[in-house]
Amino acid sequence: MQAQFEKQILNGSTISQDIKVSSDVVIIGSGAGGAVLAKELAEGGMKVILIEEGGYHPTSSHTDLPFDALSRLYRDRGFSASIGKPFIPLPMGRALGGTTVINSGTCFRTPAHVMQNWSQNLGLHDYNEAEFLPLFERVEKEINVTDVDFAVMSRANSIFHEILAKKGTPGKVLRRNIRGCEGCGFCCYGCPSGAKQSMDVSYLPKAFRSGAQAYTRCKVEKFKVQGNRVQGVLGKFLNSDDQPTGYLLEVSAPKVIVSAGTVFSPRVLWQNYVSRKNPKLKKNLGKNLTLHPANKVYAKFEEEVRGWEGTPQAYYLEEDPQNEGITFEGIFMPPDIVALTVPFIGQKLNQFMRDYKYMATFGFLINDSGTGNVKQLPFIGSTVFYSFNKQDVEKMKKGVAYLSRIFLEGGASVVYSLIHGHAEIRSEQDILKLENADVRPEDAECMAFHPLGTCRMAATEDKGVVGPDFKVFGWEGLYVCDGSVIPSSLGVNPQVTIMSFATKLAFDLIKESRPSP
Amino acid sequence: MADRILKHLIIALCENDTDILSQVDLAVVVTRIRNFVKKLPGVLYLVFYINLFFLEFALPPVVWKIRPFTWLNLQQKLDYLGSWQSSRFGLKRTAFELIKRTCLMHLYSEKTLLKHMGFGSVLTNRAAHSTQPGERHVS
Repeated sequence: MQAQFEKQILNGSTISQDIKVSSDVVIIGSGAGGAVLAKELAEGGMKVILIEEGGYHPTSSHTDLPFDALSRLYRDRGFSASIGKPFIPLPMGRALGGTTVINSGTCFRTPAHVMQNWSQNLGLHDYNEAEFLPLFERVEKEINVTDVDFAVMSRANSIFHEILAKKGTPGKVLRRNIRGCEGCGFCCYGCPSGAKQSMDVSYLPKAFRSGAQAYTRCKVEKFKVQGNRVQGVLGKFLNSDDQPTGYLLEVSAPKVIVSAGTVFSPRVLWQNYVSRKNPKLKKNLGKNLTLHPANKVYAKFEEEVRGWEGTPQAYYLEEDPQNEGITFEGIFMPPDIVALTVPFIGQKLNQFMRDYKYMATFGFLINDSGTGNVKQLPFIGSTVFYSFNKQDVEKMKKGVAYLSRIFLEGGASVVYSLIHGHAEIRSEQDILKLENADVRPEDAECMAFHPLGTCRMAATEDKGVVGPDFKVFGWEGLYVCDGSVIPSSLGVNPQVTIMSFATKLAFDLIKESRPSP
Repeated sequence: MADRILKHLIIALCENDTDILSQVDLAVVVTRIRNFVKKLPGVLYLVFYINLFFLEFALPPVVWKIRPFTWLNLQQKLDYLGSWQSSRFGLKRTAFELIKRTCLMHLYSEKTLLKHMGFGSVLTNRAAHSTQPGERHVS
């Protein structure tokens, strides 16, 4: 049975004619930025067209194995990565709802000290805690940000809690965007119960009920431009194999908002030569990329942990002075995906897989100090370049050493790490060996999340790509609003920040000074 | 040729553990890998096959073996793969990881093997928590 709002979603792969439409606003991308804009603007009375490159995957379709969901919901089938030392897998969503469909659902407000830095260094004086309080509250209400219940927490998280509580330094339960979560543990592969309030089940249905319309499987190639004013977009519909069907979408709109994400928003701007009209944009477009490199350890216990059952990211440990710049968060990968990260071959690999039900894992994010960039390469497209610096490698070692100590003290017989040369940690001696080792960037096998900053916001065009009003410098009618405008690394999961930015832009655009919380 | 290399590689990665390998049809796993790689972005597709053939045919002084990978006995294969896995050169390790991960991910997503290893609840829990089409939690 099709829900009423789903009639507003037009699947580009089934469209067999060119389409010309007009609207007040056209939004490219339907993730945490685009979906919020669509809902707020549509409810504000504007005619909104949303264009999404991925497909629409309703909640009822999330019944496949996590491995199969990688191919359905992830960009590059889960194999997207940054190039540098080391190569870092960088998972990103590609579906109506963007990366919110495959994220862990963890919600943090923008840390106050980060906003202070923006004010001091980039002149973003309106981006402060007081101004954003009603925006945070509005977003959190929409997506129902709630403390995780211990009853649905993965045992991998609660083991960690029990060890910390015994030491007298407990962490906290995470806040997540959930409604009626039963803790099935598949948050990152499309929530099968619809409990996770990702954009496709929270903001977008409301946008569609207010008249917004979405074209999925459509890739925007060109802007319609007159002088320095953008007046719409041209897109190509894609078939299920991501090849152009030959049919085109033309949307005329006085306002174009690019919300294609940190890696792909710069591409949309480059493809349309925005820096030819304003060469100063070259200095920052695609630059200033920050990521949250993340690592984890596996710890083997005597009890059967079965960590894939229950919410995998439910508990965290706030940064403490000794672990400056590191945020510890729960994590657990389902068994059909974990083989991706096992640092062994042969009998050790087999034993690891047999022991996986006895393992707890915990991870951490690094508030990185290095930066990277996104470049548009011929025949390849948008490519992320990012390398660790020495400081980040040290944080990586600290994080692994800290978690190893906690787990060994808590009774784990062995801890497995992903740092080359230190795969098995069985004693304090092994931890000291790791702490004193000269680990090179390429030795730290990790993942990264939360790319930000490639169309950075700043008060002046020598420091950013968009101004505090989200408008691309030197252009009329062209806005960017997604993770790419977030000016620096947050140190925490960024979805609430991105949604709050989008809410601000939406309210600015519909001439409302402040939302009512 | 690629199918043969992949088959030998999976057997070597599991050290020919019959308890694991008897649960899967390797031909099916290899076919799934080929189909998966076919749909990767062009560059990754190329890199995957270049790495795979390099793993098979590289000879001294690039790597220390005098026969193609598939001609080696199991212990030689393990030693050889171990040298890629623990190489001092990050790029060599990354090249190996791309192939290894692709193979293992496909092997361990075989439902019979998941059940056999005690991970059956992964297969049942996801469907059990599914809502039927509708708007159960839609706000």
